[in-house]
Amino acid sequence: MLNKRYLKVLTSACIILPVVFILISLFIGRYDLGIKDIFTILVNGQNWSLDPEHAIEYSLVYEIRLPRALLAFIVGGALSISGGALQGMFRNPLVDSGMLGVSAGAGFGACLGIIFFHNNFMIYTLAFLFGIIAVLLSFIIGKIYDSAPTVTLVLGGVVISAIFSALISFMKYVADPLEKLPTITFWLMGSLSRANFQDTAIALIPIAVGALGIMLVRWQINVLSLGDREAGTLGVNTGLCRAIVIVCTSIATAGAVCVSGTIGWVGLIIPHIVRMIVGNDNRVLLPVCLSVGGCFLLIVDLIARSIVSTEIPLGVLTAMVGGPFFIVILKRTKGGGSW
Amino acid sequence: MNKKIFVLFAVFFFLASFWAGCAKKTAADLTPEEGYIIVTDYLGKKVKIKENPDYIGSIFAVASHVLAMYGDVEKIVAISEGNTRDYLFCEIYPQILRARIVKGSNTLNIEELAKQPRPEVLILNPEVTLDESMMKQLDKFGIPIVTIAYDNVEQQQQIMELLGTITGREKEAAAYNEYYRNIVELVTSRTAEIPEGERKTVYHAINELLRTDQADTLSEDWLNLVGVENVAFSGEERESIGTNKSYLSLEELLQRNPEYMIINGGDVLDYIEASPQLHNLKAYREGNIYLLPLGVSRWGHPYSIETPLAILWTAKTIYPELFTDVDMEKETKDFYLNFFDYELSDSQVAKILSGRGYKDIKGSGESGI
Repeated sequence: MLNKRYLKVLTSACIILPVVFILISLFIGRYDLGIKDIFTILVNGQNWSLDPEHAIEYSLVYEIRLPRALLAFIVGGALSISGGALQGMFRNPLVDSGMLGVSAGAGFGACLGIIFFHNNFMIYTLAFLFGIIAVLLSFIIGKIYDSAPTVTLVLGGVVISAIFSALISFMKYVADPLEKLPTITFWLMGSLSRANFQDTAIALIPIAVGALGIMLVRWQINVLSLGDREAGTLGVNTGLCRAIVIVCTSIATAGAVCVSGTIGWVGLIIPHIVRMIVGNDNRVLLPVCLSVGGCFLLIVDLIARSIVSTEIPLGVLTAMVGGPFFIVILKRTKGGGSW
Repeated sequence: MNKKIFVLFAVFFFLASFWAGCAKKTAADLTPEEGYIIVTDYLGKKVKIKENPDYIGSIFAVASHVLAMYGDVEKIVAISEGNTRDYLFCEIYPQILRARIVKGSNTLNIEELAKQPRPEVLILNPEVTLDESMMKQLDKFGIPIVTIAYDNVEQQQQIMELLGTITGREKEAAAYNEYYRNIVELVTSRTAEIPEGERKTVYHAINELLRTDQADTLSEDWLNLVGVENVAFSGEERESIGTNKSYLSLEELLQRNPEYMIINGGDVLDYIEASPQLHNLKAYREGNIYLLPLGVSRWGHPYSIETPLAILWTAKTIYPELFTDVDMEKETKDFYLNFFDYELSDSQVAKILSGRGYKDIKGSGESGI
């Protein structure tokens, strides 16, 4: 499987496809802009923007569609690579990027931010912080019973997620139903509609750090997925390795979630799709996850913002596309798939 | 190695895109200019807008009601989805359905909004304008944004005036406000004489049985004008309830045991009918549970254009002996004829007053958002 030509083709596909999709997404939207106009804007952007007649069209392409496409890509990529890494590490196909409580924790942080501060900076910061805190708590729970660390860790994640979900419900209960509650509800559904360059930059830093970290230990994830004892005999420090994976996936996921809200399914489905295409080797699987996950969310967001004039919430679409797919995958893996 | 290069490339690509997309900031220009006016909105922000704009984005159900009432329905080019569920409104002004729907129950679709004909002024509710990221995107279009909302009767009249100023319909706004003041005057002059202890206790259910008036909202204010005791705020509890709480528990409701209940959704009425645990409420035993009428909006809802009618109707419903000379059918007909220039048939009046005719309350449609 790992022959050089195949890898070359795969690598170029992973780089070219996102670029192509980002470009395509500049051309599609509710606002009618001719293909010719968009080319003019792309080639001659700054000059075009000086003309007040066309300033809006310039803004649309460069300041609304482009940051949104980029944000969709990095968020999708971050969620899938984290999901893929965690699935490998836990040797469990049902794990996703929010497994250790990041999403629920970040949701709670965002609720706090919306209710008490109502400004973006605090919402992002609190979401990120509580995402990390949730994972830390799961990790501590995982430490309690040391002889089966992965199982307790997963359990810890489930418990912490449940606690934070309950806290979210409580925040919704106390929130002002006219002004705060709609914001909270919408945040929890996940959306990229507010994307701008600043938000994208904020999200990019933790995502890039997390993703790079995961990339660097992807061989060790392969070893971890053999099981703890086997990994130990191969000379891998399983505890350290697991900690690195957990830290990196949490940072990447929290970075994505704090800006875009909780977007389900991407971190669960994409690694499975990719596994069917490139197999189980994390060295190949994870980078491809990054690219494919990014493209998937990009396309879903494109649908969300352009099919009807009232934006469809992203969480609805990812589940509607991802849900049926997941069933198909389950069916196939049962028949001797890649797990 | 290939993959590490790929990662570096990807990071570089994103960074490059940020530089490409760096935006220049334009400060709000407030210098007076021929053909422009400067208004102050609900948030106290000064906004410069074109005099008599030809295209208006009205992304707040009540704003569309008001603008249409003033005679400018043709100028509305963008609305929120809620307006399409205001059935009587759409019956009176079918033109409204030609406007683009740019907001569902969630967020503004910025591209749909930017389409031609592009609004020259945008009327929004605070929920949207308090959303920083959304405003950052809107800023790029340079469309002036007027935020409207109101927390009491006085403010509602100011907002009516503001919308009149924006569209050059000061006369229409003044006529509406005069009617509004007359109704308030008529009702308060008659109910003022009722001594504290003899005022009826009233519970106002909003959308759900246990959701009621928040402190400092229009519905708290207009119910006070009617001269009743609102059980949502019994005595010293008003403070502790605070502005964030708008729900009572079932036990609290039973304990406060109102003599009258006014309700703004048909399904709440059905729920009460089907719930024996509520049948010992004084209001139920005495047959004093009423559905608020539903016309263009649900009368008396926090963002209702028919607030004056709600005041009159509630006063007559609760103190019929004081308002024997008021004929609600006639008042209703006159209101829609005078302000919407629309003649209601008798069956339409009955439909409005029954509170069930024009829509059934589902989701956010009737929240005025």
